[in-house]
Amino acid sequence: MKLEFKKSISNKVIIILGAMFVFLFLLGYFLLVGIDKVSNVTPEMFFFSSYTVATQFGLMLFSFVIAFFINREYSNKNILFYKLIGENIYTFFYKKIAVLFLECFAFITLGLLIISLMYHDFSHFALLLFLFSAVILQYILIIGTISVLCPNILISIGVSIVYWMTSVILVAISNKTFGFIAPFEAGNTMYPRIERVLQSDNMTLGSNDVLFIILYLVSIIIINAIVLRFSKTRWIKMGL
Amino acid sequence: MNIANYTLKVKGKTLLQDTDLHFSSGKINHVVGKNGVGKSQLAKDFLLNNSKRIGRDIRQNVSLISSSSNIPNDVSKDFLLHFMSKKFDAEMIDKIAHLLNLDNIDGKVLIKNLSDGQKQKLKLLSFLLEDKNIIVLDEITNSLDKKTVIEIHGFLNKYIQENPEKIIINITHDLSDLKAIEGDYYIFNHQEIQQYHSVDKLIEVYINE
Repeated sequence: MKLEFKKSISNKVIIILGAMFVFLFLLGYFLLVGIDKVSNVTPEMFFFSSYTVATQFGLMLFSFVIAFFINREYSNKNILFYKLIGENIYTFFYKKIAVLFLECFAFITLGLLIISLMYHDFSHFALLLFLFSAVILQYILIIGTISVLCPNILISIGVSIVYWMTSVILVAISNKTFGFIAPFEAGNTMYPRIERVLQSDNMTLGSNDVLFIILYLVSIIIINAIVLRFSKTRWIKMGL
Repeated sequence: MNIANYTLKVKGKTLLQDTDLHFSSGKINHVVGKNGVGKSQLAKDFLLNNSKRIGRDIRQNVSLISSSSNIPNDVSKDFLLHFMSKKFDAEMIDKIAHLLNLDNIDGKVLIKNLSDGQKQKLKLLSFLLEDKNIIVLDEITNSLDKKTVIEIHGFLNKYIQENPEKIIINITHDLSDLKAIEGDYYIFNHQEIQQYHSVDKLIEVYINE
């Protein structure tokens, strides 16, 4: 993990992630003020608008930096070095994912803390921390899995965007059948429930939704582990 | 190391056909060949086994040091050595670092900002720490300055003397390697690897090929 943290600092990945989250929250605010013409932005509106930005534009925003952090090791021909220090495809991948997620988690916490302090409103802090973290973890896992399979960053970003657009279209066609592919999507059933929770005094989501999110993330992790299982040789070949 | 009837095909092109690979321990086995004959593919095959002729005992006992195996360039020498000392024997690190004269490399500078020669020395140090018995060097002196090439030649001479159990295969098109480091001499010739006992004869064949 130490190596990956060091790399994320020297490659400025941590700075780019920080800038992305600043942009995400600013966009959340300015969409309300600029497009919706809201004159008095309440914390509930601000949080929900930022959450909407994260779910609707998050994959586009974060795909570059996530793909870069993984694909760079292929283009730099570093895979044999990872083998040398005792890593395999699983430890290589999960350490990178863990570093990206921890850095994102720190920025999410910081962002929510600052906004909550500005409004003196911490009523939905824990729920928002959970939701934002789940949304970002989903992106890191999906884009990460695609990146580990793709030989270069452009292909990784391209495939990630195609995946994202396909999932949005499928959910729009039938959220009953395809809802599981993109649970956070605005066209899905959970989205309005989250809006209602944020605008009410009800502090948290229903246990069904929380369970569904956890189940969704676990499913991605399982699919990811299966993909990695069958990519061991490909990992070495792409790194040579 | 002996591999009989070795054939290597990459993307439908036959690079080596029914040739015998025989490399000795305790000396540098130089393999020369013109660009495009398949030198680097041979080097990679010791790990990837595209030929299906490289046994598991060989694959698991090979260190490949080539342009396909880099060290992270987004850390500094100090960080790399400290990191490696947690994974490998610190005494061995000091010994190889001393032989490679790494002291004159600025420890705080990111590796990507070092010269090619300095990067190559750090790469040699890192991959030799694996302490595998078969070491495949693929064009390791390519595009380096003369001083660094001489230092690497000196290092390899000392290293093989101190580690006579190792098999070092030096794949190169730099003929100065052959004169500077004594060993066995092989050439890629008509889809075979042929051994020559005289450096001069091999150079003659190489130039007239």
